[in-house]
Amino acid sequence: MLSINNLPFRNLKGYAERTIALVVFSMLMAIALFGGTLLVSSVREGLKKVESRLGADIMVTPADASNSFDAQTVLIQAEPGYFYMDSSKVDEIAGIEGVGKISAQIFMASAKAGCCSARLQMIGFDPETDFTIQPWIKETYTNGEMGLMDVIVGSNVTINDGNIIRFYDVDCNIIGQFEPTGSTLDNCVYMNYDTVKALIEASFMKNLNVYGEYDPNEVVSAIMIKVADGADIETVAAAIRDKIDGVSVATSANMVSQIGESVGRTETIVYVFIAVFWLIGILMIILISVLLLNERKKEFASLAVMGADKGILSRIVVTEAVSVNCIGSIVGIIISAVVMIMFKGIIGESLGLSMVVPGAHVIAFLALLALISAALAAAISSVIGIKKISKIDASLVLKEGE
Amino acid sequence: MKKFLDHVKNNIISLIVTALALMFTVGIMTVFAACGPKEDGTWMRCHNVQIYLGICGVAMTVLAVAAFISRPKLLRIALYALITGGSVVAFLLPEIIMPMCMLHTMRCYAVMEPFDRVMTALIAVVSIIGIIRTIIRKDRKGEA
Repeated sequence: MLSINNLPFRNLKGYAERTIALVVFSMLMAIALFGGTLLVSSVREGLKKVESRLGADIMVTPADASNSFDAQTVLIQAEPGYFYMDSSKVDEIAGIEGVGKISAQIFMASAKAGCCSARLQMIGFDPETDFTIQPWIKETYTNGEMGLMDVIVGSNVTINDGNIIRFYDVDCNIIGQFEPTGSTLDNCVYMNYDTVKALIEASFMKNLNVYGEYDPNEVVSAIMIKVADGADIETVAAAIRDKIDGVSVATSANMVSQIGESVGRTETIVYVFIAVFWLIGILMIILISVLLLNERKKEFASLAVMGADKGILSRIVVTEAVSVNCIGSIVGIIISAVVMIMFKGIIGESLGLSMVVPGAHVIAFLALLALISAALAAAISSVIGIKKISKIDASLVLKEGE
Repeated sequence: MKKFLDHVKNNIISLIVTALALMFTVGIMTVFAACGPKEDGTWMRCHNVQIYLGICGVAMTVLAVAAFISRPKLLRIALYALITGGSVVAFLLPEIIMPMCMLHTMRCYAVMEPFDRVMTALIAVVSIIGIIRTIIRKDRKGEA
């Protein structure tokens, strides 16, 4: 039965083309706003996670490793590799003023897996001195210390074959998996010194080590440093550069600078994109609504003649606008959420950014923001529409064309 | 012509399923394909998943076309049920039923798997709508 309450919905159904056009524009606005803000939140979350996971203020690597290790891009794009320097460098650096905590790591890369062309970066840490990896392991693995051949894998590493991962024909037990950081840290496998040394020996046995043979007890790949309280990171880094030969020194600020710059650039582009789409969307919604109100003058005049006062006519206009904008926004939010969450990997890779989709509460907040923006668009187009119908003189309109 | 248009109108769900299944099949074999071959020319593990998904896609397309053509109500319900089942299998194939490559950053995880999950979920939802719609619709002349 026809009633004032269901009239707006019958109107929307009756003017299907107009409804679809309005829904499409409000959907595009929601995609721009929700998708854009979710993208920015994801890259910010990625940067935050990477910064917190780095742990060290300074990272020292062999100078001749620069071909396979670029401090500025290593967190975004890095091929698994390994390089070494004499372990005596650890003691030399420990003696420099301003160095607080110091711990060495040994790198190794897996051979290509049987399943595919993937190679994994292995990072061996010294459990006695490590301060960068173990705090995170404690969050993932609470059953005591990692034993021989125990490994913890980054979030991108798939776990098959009953928690066993095989390197150089040696089985390692996967005892945990880290949370995603959106960076190359997610592609690594973490283990203690004894395990990485055993795997290096296994690579010698299989003749797959690019350096031939060496004593794994005499080498380190990277030295992680936390400066002492009150010491300046750049000053300590400069002192290491001056006093230690054959090393490359990178600060944590250097390492995340590339990501930070990319985040800044992406934010600017996304905000411009949101503004342009929102402006075009709202203008089109207003234009379509106003043009159609002109065409619907007789409809409103007839309703007025039948006794509908301005309040009822306004309610029809507002209900139509709110319904259309809500439907469009909900569809837009669902599409953007599915695309952003499901395809986050390829989106992050194509943008060259570390991306971690934020938690459900952040996504819910951004969705609410998009819905509020849709309500705002509905309010603007309704106000214009109400002003327009308030000027209608029912008798004149109905006499037109007689 | 009018008869055909009426048939299209009455069977719009099976047409949507056909379009989705066709998009899924073509997508999984082209733009959203799994990882390419290894340097030595052999295929990676995910290639098998892609082939099975392609087979599922072709099967779902054929079943959807059959649902569009067929008139008996029970047969159409059975066809939609088979499509739903096929889409569930295709949804679960990557990673859950069949293991894929080693890193989640690889193409099979970053591109093929999300496409598979979105498309098969859509196909399943539309097929279930098709079942419900077929059940609640009044019998027409000539339908079982």
